[in-house]
Amino acid sequence: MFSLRNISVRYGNTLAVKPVSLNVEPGRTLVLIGPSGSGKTTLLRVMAGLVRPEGAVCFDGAAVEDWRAVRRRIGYVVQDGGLFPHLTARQNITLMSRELGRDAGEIAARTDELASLTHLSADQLDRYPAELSGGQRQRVGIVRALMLRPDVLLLDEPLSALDPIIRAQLAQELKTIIETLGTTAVLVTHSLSEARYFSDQLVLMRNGGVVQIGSYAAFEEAPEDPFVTEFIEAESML
Amino acid sequence: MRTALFALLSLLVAAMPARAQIVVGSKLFTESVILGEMAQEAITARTDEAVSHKRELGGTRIMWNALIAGEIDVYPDYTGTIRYEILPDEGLETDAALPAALATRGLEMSAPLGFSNTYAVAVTRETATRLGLRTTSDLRAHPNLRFGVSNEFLDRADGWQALAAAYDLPQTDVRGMIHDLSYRALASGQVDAVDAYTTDAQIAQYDLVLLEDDRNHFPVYDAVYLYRSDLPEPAKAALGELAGTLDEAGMQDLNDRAQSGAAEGDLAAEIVSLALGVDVEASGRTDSRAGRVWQRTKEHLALVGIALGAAIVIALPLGIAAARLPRFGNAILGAVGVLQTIPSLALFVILIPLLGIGAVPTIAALFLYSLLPVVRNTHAGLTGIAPALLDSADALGLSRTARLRRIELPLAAPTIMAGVKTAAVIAVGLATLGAIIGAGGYGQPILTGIRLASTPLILEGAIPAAVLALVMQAAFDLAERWITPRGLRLRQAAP
Ligand SMILES: Nc1ncnc2c1ncn2[C@@H]1O[C@H](COP(=O)(O)OP(=O)(O)OP(=O)(O)O)[C@@H](O)[C@H]1O
Ligand SMILES: [Mg+2]
Repeated sequence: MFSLRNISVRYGNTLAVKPVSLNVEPGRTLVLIGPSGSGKTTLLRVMAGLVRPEGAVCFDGAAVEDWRAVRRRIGYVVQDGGLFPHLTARQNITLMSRELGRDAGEIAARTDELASLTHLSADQLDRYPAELSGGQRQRVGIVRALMLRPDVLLLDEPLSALDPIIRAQLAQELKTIIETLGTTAVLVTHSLSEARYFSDQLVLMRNGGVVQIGSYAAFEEAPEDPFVTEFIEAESML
Repeated sequence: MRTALFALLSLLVAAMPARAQIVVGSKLFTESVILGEMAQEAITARTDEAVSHKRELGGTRIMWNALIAGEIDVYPDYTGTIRYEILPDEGLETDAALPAALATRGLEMSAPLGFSNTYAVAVTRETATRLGLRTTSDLRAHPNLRFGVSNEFLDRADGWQALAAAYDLPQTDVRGMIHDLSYRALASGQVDAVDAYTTDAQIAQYDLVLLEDDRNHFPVYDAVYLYRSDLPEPAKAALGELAGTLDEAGMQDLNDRAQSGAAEGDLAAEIVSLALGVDVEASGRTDSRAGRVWQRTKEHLALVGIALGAAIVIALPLGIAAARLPRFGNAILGAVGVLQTIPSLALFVILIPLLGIGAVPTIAALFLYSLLPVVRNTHAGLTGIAPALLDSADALGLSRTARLRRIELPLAAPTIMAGVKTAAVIAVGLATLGAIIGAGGYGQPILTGIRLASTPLILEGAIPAAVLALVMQAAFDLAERWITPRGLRLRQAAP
């Protein structure tokens, strides 16, 4: 689906992402993991076309020239949901479809379908973000990203600000959604357990560079760098 | 929304009075207003022209520029003022040299009205007795005396500097103030000596002593009408008929009665009726107070409304551009910031040669002052939006315009509105200054009130101005609530 060839991102003098090449397979879930500031969000923003990197980003085999065409095939949920506070949940969800002049009945049907998938009630849809809980906001963000039936879903720490019960619940829902819709997904997280739960393919990052790419099992069994073991042990300590 | 704004603007424009064919001007003191009324009544009586009188326009420089620009056609002035203040570089030895100098500028002057209104130093009778002051030279022995002199006198070539040089005056505590206020300062003991016009009514009212000009420093200040050469001949002839009809005692009496509350128009009508031998009607209006306040309110709202409307139309795109293009943004914010630092009176005077006098330059000045708050707040509102929200908007695929319209402007609206409110409240206050250049509004009764030492008149302008500022504030608070999206109000209310 995505392939990144020698991508690097520079902010002023610092390299936020060092040259990276990786492939995101269609229908699979790739998880980006790593400590704070290691460049996960930046790499995700590259895939969403929000940062122009050096190197080539290919989508469906062709280097992306015009991001506007590709954007609608990508759903992106920013780190804290990124809901527009002046719009209700429903207005947030339907904003782009309305901009595109989609049929109102079609929009309503799609909204209902996704709302039931994420257990959002009609009453909750008519509230403003400030009137929703963190978990509900995250759900709305996911529904908004899925509205235009994207081929790829990009999620930046979708579960990090939630209490353990809601987190487990939403994790299950999310996995169901990804499997039901057959979407390709890229998910950023700090947490190894989330990585294990979601990943077909796992990428560990550190200081803007990739440390290891592979399955979760390979991380435990065949670490390519001492940092991989250190990262895994740090999580199990607490 | 846009049509409503347009309708409002056209209504405001329509509310402004149409220009008469012949415009008489007068300076910001009672005598000049009375002489202006006389000119208006005389020309009205002798011609079929429509004549209007722009009262209390300001100082000599403003009048002269307005006359040259054709904004006014006639105004009363004094020969000494023309020679020393207006044309100091021409070295005119006597009044006889004036007509030729004026002719090169397309101007003429009438024969003298009869009285001369020269300068003198005035002190209270108590001070004169205590210090034994009789002549201007006597001031030399008292270097600690505090002077309060009119602003014009402080600046002009034949004013304070020349006087101090001619008499070797040692005093250094010299403050400039509005002429009519200097008498109050003298009476209340805040200053010891003031410059006085010899026909001022306050000399008798406050029982002041005029010090003799023992070195013959002050020139002759014969009152005349200055007018444009293109003034219709019958109008010139009408002004000519007023020559020699008013002596010093007569003028001091008129000033005194005006100060005591008589309408300038009625006083002028007495003189003009005698001079022309016909019964002349006072042209001054006899509106009720409520009528006057309503008229002033309309004028004031027109000034503020048009300036603010135009400022919003210009400042909003400027603010958006400033937020989009950081380098351009710095230049814009800097430029409108500099505009804000120009003192308001200076800005009015700078604008006169470009835009004349009256409502137009006032609106232009208010417009310029309104730019900064709106540009700055638009910029701040837009740049203050969380980057994650902009990322979300871009990732959704919203175009730049859709993002601006659907996301950025609604989120920035409360901040922008606060800027508009600031601009409006500032403009209501500043617009009172417009009266000095003939824009009308609440400043007019304030100016007249200061001139006539009439507190009720000052309040007639000051109270509505304060009330309007409060009403504006309240109205914009409501508008701010209305324009703030409900979802944002929730967030502000949340802990
Ligand atoms: N707009 C920017 N300008 C300058 N530097 C930036 C910018 N965005 C990110 N960076 C820097 O790039 C590096 C990577 O940031 P990034 O947000 O990708 O990290 P992250 O892995 O997502 O961290 P976290 O887990 O804390 O979200 C950091 O050092 C950050 O300071
Ligand atoms: Mg991040």
